[in-house]
Amino acid sequence: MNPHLVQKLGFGLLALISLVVVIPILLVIGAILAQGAPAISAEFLTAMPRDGMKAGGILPAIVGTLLLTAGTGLVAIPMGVGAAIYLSEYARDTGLTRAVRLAIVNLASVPSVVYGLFGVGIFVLLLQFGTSILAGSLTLAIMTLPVIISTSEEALRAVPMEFRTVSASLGGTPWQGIRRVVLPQALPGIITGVILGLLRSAGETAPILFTVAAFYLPALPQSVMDQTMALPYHLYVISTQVPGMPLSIQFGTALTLLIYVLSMNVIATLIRGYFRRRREW
Amino acid sequence: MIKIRAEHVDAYYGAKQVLADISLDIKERQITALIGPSGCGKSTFMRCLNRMNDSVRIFSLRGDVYLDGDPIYADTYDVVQLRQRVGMVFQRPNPFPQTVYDNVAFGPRVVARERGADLDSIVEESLRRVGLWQELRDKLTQDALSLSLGQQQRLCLARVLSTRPEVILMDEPASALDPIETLRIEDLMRELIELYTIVIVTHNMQQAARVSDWTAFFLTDDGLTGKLVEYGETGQIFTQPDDKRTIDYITGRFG
Repeated sequence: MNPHLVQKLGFGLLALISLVVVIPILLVIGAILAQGAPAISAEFLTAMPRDGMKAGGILPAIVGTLLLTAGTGLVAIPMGVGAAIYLSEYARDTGLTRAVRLAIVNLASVPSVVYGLFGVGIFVLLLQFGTSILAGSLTLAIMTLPVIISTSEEALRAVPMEFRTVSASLGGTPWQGIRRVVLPQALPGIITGVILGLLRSAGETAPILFTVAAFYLPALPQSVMDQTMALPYHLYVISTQVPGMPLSIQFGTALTLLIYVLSMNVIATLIRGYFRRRREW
Repeated sequence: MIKIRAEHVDAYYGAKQVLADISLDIKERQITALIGPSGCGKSTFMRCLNRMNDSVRIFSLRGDVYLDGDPIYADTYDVVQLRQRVGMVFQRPNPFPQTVYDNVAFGPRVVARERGADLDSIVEESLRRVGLWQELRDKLTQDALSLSLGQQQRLCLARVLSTRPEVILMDEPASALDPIETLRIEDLMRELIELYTIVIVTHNMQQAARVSDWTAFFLTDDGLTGKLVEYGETGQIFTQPDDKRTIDYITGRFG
């Protein structure tokens, strides 16, 4: 067969496959946008739910999800980045560090519902945090850690060894080299990892199911020991647990969650682009 | 005056001996060139002088190296201080991917905790000393990687000078540069020995002959262990060396 024809056929086929990948995403976004957009209004975003969640807004769920993301970040970012710095810069290659790495890889593949049950056992019951923002954030943080650690470690390792050598040759301690040269270079990668991890945690239902999420709580949380509603769980509830729920509220909630996650993604991309512009080696 | 004295230095990577019985006196405010074919241990030896081999886990050293009479491999010797006193310029220009200013300010900032106007004047003085101040005084906030390679290498030299060293080690500092930039670096070295002791590793015979006061010729006969064949005044090494192997090398018969 004519090689040009083969090439054309091949590329055509590949283009088709790529298209097939994109179609479901476009359909999902399209469907949610089409049916959810009419529900979005100032009231929907800023009011408490009314009439058994069938009317009013979803403010407590939005605030709850924002708080959980913040709480997760507060715990998972310092721990995750710290662990990554230790593993990449300080830890020697021993049996122990290899076991730690293996554990991190495995943690990343644990189903989220298992984290949820773990959170109930440790934070809610054993440590007596109750179902609270604290317990939920900690559970989500543990689930997010492996993503943050492995992406951050990768970003740190991508910084050429040479910079550490030069820093040492100028009389810098290893930490001074890390702080002044390596970390700033690795920052875009670390930020990407952090946001990817937080994105995943923001959309999860299972880990917050038993640790923090309230079925219906038309009030904003007052402390970290309070329960809260959260967008993913709220979506689950109004889609499956409440009969006669207007479709527009369901899609409106889904759209809100989608916009939240997508906007975080865009922010991550912008930050990364900003830092990448400034570095080259 | 002897600035650095190496006495019977043996160096090992694991079980492999890479330097055997190197004894060498480096004179203060003079330029000492270490020459020899690839793999002869000249770079390894130079890195023994500021303990840059410490970070290589399997590296070990026997013998002694003295800086101003103090043994730098003594357990109590402060390595951070050693590296401020014995700075290093690398083969490839390697400024940090930061501004010109931040590069030169690195040492004084992180090590001596200099700030503000003091730091500004150290940066200016260091850039002046390498002849970059006129070119870069208005570009201090520019990314160092946007400079030409020659400028980058002189910036790296300024970065070393800002830590106020006494000795500067240069590991083939001009091998990535074009002839004009190479000459600038060499001129600079001749100016700098007013204040500093310089040790340079070079593959370039003409460079060693042009720039150095003393020349040490390293060689390995088994492809592994480097030995010092001959050490003396540069003029003598290049005109009437004692050892036949030195003659062979500098006349280009091998290497």
